Amino acid sequence: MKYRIQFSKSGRLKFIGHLDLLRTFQRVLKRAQIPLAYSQGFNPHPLLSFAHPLALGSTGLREYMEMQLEKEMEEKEILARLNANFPEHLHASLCERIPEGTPAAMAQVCAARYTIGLPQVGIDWASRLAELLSQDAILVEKLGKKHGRKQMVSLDIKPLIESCAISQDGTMELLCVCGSEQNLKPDLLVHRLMKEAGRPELAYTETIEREELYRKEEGRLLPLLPFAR
Amino acid sequence: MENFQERRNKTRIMRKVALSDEILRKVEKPARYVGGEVNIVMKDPDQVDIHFAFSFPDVYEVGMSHLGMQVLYHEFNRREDVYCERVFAPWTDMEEQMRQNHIPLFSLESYAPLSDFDFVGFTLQYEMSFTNILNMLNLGGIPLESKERDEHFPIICAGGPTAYNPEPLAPFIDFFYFGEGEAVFHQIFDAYGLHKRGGKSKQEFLESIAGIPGIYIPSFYDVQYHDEPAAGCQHTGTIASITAVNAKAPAKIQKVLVSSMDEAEYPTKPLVPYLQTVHDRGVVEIFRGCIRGCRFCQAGMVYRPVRMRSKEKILELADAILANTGYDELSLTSLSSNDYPDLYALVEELHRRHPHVNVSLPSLRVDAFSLSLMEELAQGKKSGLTFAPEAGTQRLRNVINKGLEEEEILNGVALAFSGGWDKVKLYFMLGLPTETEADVEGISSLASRVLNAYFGTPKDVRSRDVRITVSTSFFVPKAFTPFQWCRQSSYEEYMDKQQFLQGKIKNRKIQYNCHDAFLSTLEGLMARGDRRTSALIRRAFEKGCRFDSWSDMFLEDSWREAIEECGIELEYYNQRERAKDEILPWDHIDIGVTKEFLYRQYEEAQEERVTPHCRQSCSGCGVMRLAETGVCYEEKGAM
Repeated sequence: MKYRIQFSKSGRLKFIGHLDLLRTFQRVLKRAQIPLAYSQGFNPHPLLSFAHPLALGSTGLREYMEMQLEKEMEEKEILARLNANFPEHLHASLCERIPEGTPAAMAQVCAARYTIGLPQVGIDWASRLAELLSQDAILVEKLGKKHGRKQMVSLDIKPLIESCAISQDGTMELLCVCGSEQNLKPDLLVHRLMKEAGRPELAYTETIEREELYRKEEGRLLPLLPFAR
Repeated sequence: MENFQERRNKTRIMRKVALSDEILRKVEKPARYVGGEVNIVMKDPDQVDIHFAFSFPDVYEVGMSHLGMQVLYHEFNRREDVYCERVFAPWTDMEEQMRQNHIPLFSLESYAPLSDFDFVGFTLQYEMSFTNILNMLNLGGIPLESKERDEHFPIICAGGPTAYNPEPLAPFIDFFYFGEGEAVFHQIFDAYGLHKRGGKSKQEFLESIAGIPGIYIPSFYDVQYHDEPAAGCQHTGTIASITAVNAKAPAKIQKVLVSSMDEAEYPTKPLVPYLQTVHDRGVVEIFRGCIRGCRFCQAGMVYRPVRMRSKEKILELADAILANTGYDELSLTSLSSNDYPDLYALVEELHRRHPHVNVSLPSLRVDAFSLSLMEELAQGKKSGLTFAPEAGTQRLRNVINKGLEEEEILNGVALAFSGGWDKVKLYFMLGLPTETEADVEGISSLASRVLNAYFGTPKDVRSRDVRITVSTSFFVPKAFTPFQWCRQSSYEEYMDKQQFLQGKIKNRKIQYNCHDAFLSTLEGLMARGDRRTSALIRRAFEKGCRFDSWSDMFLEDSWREAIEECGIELEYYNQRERAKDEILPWDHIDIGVTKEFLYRQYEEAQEERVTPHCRQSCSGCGVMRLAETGVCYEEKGAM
């Protein structure tokens, strides 16, 4: 019995990393007496996974988690028990039992939408962004692996951006590739934009919220939940 | 200047430190600084009279693994008039950000700056955390020494096992408490409440608590030294006298203890950290103290007498803790698991009630019983086995009163190897009193015999390969142990012993690890230091020393310079045997165990005589006069 959960992670929990969140969920499930299933074998591990790790320092409005239970439970009951046992700043909003044969959320996810708050320091972010996006390639430096060794590598992030615009109130809306194969970390784009504006020291003054994670169905982007439309 | 009462009444609007996301995004593991954990106690700071900052002088992951903090946090917070919050030492990256952005050290509950608290209480778990204490005060904008702090500043107190020799920290701390803090603090809070309403000064408050058992106010005592240097020393003289100079201060300060483990409060809703901490699990203390009486062990002396928690109480606590935390691991702690009378039945019952919870037992002696227990606990997984013979020969083990025979070790490993275990760790100390070359060599021969036990195990039952690890630390004499009079080896002697042993271990299946010799020298200096060593701690802090117990942070050269500049003679503090009648820096503290008993033990050690443990017979250590409780009042000959 596999269930997919939609939840939000807000406030100071943005500073709790992915692995710490995984452990937190395991403990919440124990406290909530939700019977999480474990893998068979020599080193049993809990059958619980997230659609995609959220970067440390970002909040998530609609994040997704999947878990296998030992026995069936009412979806409403699962939601109620989760919310009764979650720490402050975690909240579950949807729970659906997922049909057999559905690919894991982790495999389904292909895109993410972010809302990014840029510092209001008299910079015309919209025109800076337009300039940046008009370039043939947007090269950023990131820590990656080259010939099996960790080092700074150069990466063109332009193909990873589906759409990016700055709204009236100055927030940036970004739709980009997200997944285990290819993924854009939004701070790479934001810090590149700050550098472009001649203000690299502004890095980390932005706020990043992941609004939604998408799967693709018949060429259309759909949120990971709900299933039934 | 406003007085004590005015300050206390006016400033109860606790400020809040503004910690920006920008800073948190720039530091490693920001979860160290945000709080908000499951089971955190949240109160409205403005509705509480007494604000206590429980301060752990190390990084979050270390402090949060400490059981004592959880006990006191919940005990203090049961009081409506007290808000106990947590403060940890920020890691160096965060310290840099805080200093750059003028952010004072703050608590994790209400983000209040350290200087807004009524009390700042440090727990002392190891000597090499002392520079962190000074750094934390400094980051909190609090002057380091008591005499530099006026009525505006919090009262700084300290307790914990390392506080039993408080003297190196004497100038920095307003009062120490000896013994089990859960028993003493209610009286202190009551007294503080009275004084706050009565408009008294800090000095008057301290005088009012000077008579509470276990409380030591260093400024109420005067220490005089002989002008003439001690034998073999250039300029450092021994202590001439320690005198109470305030009429309210007792001549001797007696430790306080919890008399019933079943009645003592225990946190069943411990804080559950988000970050992975050093010990990330539920903990139930199954008994306090140790019957064994190893002569090097301070815990074995200061936690006397042994007091048991009943099986029923342990089970009740375990049920509650697991339900309230969601932990999948539970540790049953004590100084020596095997000495719990009903261990097997306890573990069996825990297993029955919580089949998916992994139960761990520290300090387990290896024998047939414990191996089957471990096999059951680990559900087939075979982790490494640990033995702590401490010394390489039976002679030296008799000197230290470590009741572990070589035969027991070899039988234990033989059983383990035939059960499929393949990793064995052996812990030893170098530089124990009376140690000779033969004793050091004995470490490598014992390791070889352990390896032979593996080869002597039939191939079809033993594992395909074996790994034996020999770890040595250096023996550091501690206050309130029979070895408090001993000479400690010098740095050079430590290094020689280490190299000698390294040369004796030739088999590549035996791996050798060792401890830092200079760190042990410093630890020894702090462990038996007096008020004159406080200048060194301050100097080292000023030179940038902190997190000294983290090998990558330890600034050996700065410490050496500070020793030189402060004129500290290692010949005096470390490399000198004390005379029987010498006044020791901690002589005005009474831990229950008497100096006479400790000296008798010291003599027995030199005669290589073993002392029976507390359940076999009473050796008259003196602790039984403190309270009618524990092993002293059990029937003898039970085990």
